[in-house]
Amino acid sequence: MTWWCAARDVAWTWTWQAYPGVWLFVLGIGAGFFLTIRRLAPRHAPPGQLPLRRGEAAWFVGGLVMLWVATDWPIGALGAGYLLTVHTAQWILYTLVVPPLLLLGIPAWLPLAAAPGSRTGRLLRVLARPVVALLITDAILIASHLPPVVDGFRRSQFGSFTVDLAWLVGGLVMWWPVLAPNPAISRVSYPWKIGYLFLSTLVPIVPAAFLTYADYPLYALYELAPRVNGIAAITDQQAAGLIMKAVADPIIWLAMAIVFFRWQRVEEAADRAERARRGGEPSS
Amino acid sequence: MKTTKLLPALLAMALLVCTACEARRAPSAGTPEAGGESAAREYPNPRPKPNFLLTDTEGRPFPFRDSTEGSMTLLFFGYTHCPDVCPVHMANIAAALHKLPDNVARQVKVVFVTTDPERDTPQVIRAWLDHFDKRFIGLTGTQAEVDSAQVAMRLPPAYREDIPGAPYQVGHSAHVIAFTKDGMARFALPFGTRQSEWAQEIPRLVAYPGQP
Repeated sequence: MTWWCAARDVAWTWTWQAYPGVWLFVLGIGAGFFLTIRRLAPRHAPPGQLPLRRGEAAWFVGGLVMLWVATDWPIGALGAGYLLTVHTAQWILYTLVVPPLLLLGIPAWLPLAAAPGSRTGRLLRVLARPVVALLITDAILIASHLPPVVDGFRRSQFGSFTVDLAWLVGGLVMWWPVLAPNPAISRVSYPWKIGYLFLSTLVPIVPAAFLTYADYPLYALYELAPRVNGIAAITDQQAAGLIMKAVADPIIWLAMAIVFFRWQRVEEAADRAERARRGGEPSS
Repeated sequence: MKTTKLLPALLAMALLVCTACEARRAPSAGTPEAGGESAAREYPNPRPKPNFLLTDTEGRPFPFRDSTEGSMTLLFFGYTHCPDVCPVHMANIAAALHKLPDNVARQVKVVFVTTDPERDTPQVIRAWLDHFDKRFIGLTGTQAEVDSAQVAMRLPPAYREDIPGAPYQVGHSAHVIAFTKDGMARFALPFGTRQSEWAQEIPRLVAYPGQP
């Protein structure tokens, strides 16, 4: 039974194919999230406040939709076994698009539901440290782009699922120090967040450069796959390398800009408050 | 940060760098890696080049042995509507040839014989081959002529596979036969031979029995 997108030794066709494992995975995350909110809200949500705001729910559902798009036919199937460019586009969706949307959907009270001393509480705080997050994210990025891993894992449904899951986890870990919804979890300052995001663009240069400049295809899987629209394997690989930087980096630059303007807003508000405080003080 | 936490990340990065370096290094023609594991499978009993007569894409008669004499020749039986093996083989050989020095590439003749003469007219074959390399030679003939060319190479003749609701496909041998310059079929290169491997094998085959 085909439940997850993996490489297949048949020519690509635009005939829709069902991947029920993908649907269950996406629905499972959604159901798990909303049930958790429902279960924990009575004890942990601030009184007199909606446990999940509409905006938060919209972000989370948006993340689920993007996750489904990245995983299901046709993107999932093309990326798993036919085109490296689509594989790279999937990586971008999994690590740079889906995680921020999901994290923006988490209400601020939810991470605090895990007691600080509990295993989950400790894990959430440790992962919010930029150095830890960066190491995990980069290790997943590098390992998941090694030719033996791509050629080996993408051939089986379970292997392909493992790669997709690793990318999603890597993406959530990467964005956690920046988007953890509660300052009690992440105390990373705004300038540090900007610096951290910049650092996160550095290691992808390594695989991107190899993909762009290698003389021959790095992955047997994509080199020997039936061609799609006659796209040559090396052209596909070069395009994948370019996408990895030319599409991924602007997403992170956008995030850096948003963090910068938030920082500016917070500083301005603090200045205004300070001026108001001084203006209210009696002159000596 | 403890060293034990840094180690896996550094190790993974080193692995990628090594693997990618290897992928860049392997293709260079005539590198000293000639003694490495070969993608080509050697025939235990090399066979002389047959002189089957087919027609090239210009409509001229093409006696195979006479027309390829003195060149290292790669012979492949396939068809242009092939969804997987044929375009990948042709693309990989072409990619390797484009990267090799001109003096090596000039000594190679790539001959594609259609196993589907019904659909593969000379024009169709030419247009398809030009997509890979304009130097590739395309041959066709009657079904009987094409079948006997395969039999001459001791290959089972290709057969038509009817697929309900879709254009028919053709089952055919998936390996490329390599004739060295002495006119003997000495090696078969299976489907799965990668561009970097072709780039390593072609200079060896051109220089056979010496080293590139």
